[in-house]
Amino acid sequence: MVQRFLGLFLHELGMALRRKGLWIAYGLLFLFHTVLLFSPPPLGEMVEGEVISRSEAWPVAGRFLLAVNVFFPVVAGILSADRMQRDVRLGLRELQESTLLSRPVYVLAKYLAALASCLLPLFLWVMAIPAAMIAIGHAPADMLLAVPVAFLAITVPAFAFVVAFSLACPMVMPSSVYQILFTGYWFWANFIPPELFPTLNGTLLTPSGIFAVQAFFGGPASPASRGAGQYTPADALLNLAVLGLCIAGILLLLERFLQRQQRQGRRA
Amino acid sequence: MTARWTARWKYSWLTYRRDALWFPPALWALFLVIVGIMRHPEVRFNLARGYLGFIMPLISGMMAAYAVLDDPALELRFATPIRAGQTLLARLGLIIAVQTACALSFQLFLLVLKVDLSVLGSLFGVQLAWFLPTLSLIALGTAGALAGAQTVMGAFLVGAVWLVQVMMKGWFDANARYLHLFRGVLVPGDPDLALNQCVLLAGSMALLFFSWVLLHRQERYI
Repeated sequence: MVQRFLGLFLHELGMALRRKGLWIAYGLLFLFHTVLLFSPPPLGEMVEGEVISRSEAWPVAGRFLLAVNVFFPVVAGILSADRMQRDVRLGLRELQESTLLSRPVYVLAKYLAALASCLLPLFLWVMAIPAAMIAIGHAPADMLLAVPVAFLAITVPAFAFVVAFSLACPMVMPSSVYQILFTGYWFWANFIPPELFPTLNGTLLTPSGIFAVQAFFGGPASPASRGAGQYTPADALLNLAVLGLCIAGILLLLERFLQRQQRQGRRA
Repeated sequence: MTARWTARWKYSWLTYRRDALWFPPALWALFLVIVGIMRHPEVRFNLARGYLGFIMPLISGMMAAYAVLDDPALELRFATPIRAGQTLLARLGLIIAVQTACALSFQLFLLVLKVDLSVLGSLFGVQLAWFLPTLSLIALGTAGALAGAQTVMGAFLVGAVWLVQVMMKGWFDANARYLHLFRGVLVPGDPDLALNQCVLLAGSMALLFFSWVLLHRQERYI
């Protein structure tokens, strides 16, 4: 079973990483963020002569990954939307069903491969940024530890949440409709202040990473957290647990949906 | 002659993505209900502005990304003497027509509810406030999909540009006010608005021309 899982995971990962669209999409956003990070105001945020102190390394890493979570999950969601659907559209499911590959293993391998393909290029880029900052004397070496920890606590849960829904939802609606709803959802559920309009922002269902930033990295309120309070580590753990439950729930639903499709296919 | 027209309409109906027909009216209905439920005039205005100025361009751009290339009979279509301009006009024209119908009927509904849109300018100014961002994202979605030879590229460009423009108004104020898609709905009194609108219109035309050129290279999409 482990072999089958690994085989499918590596095949899917390789296929996803070879997609031209993934690199163009990420490349454009990398360029955009890099220009913002290394240009002086008003174009960017790099103030000449300003050096991040050792005590600020962790909050700065938290805020950096929170900023990453504004745009990159949208790319991940849009790019992952056709991963599961294409197997059905191209008739691969019938072939896969005739093999020894079980459905739960198939769903899990597909999910983890899609997630890894979205995270890998981003991880390389987020590690290159502190390395460049340290090289030009703008940040302390502590950033090289703070950034991967922040990546794990802030970026990975958001992407895990987004990719799970992006695999499952397009099975019951057209990709274009899902992509519109998803882009609108990401803005509505993470960045609209609760006092302005009813939103999921500030609830335990918020995947933006603001809970982890405030609870674990001591980040001050940012534009993304307007209307939200200061969260404690307990809140952040609860937030991660709720997101984890949602991911498990949607993957289970996806597996059941595929089972139903398989039964209907046999009857037909 | 009639048989040929019937066959053409039947082919269009069977092959065209029907979500471009049902999804915009579905969101239109949703916003009608929400605006109707809300009582506070400011909330009603913000919702109306949000639908016309932000939601409609997003829907249109994403639909446009799928409009040309996501056709099960694309190879057959390329084998017929249908010109690139005709394809673009038919596919994008339908999206614009549906959105125009939604926008105008939504404004009529707002009139009945006495929601005042005059903050956005004259009647013509209000139409420009939703039409120009809609046209710009339609052009971007089409050009992106054709340039990348993948619908997902157009969808990504529309999603990313939409979110960047919505989230970074301050940055656009300082650095690129002429490229800000939502200036008509967010800063309707801006003295530079006319120039911004000219740039958006010219940019959209350039992207549509680029799409037209790309659509001639049919071998890229087969």
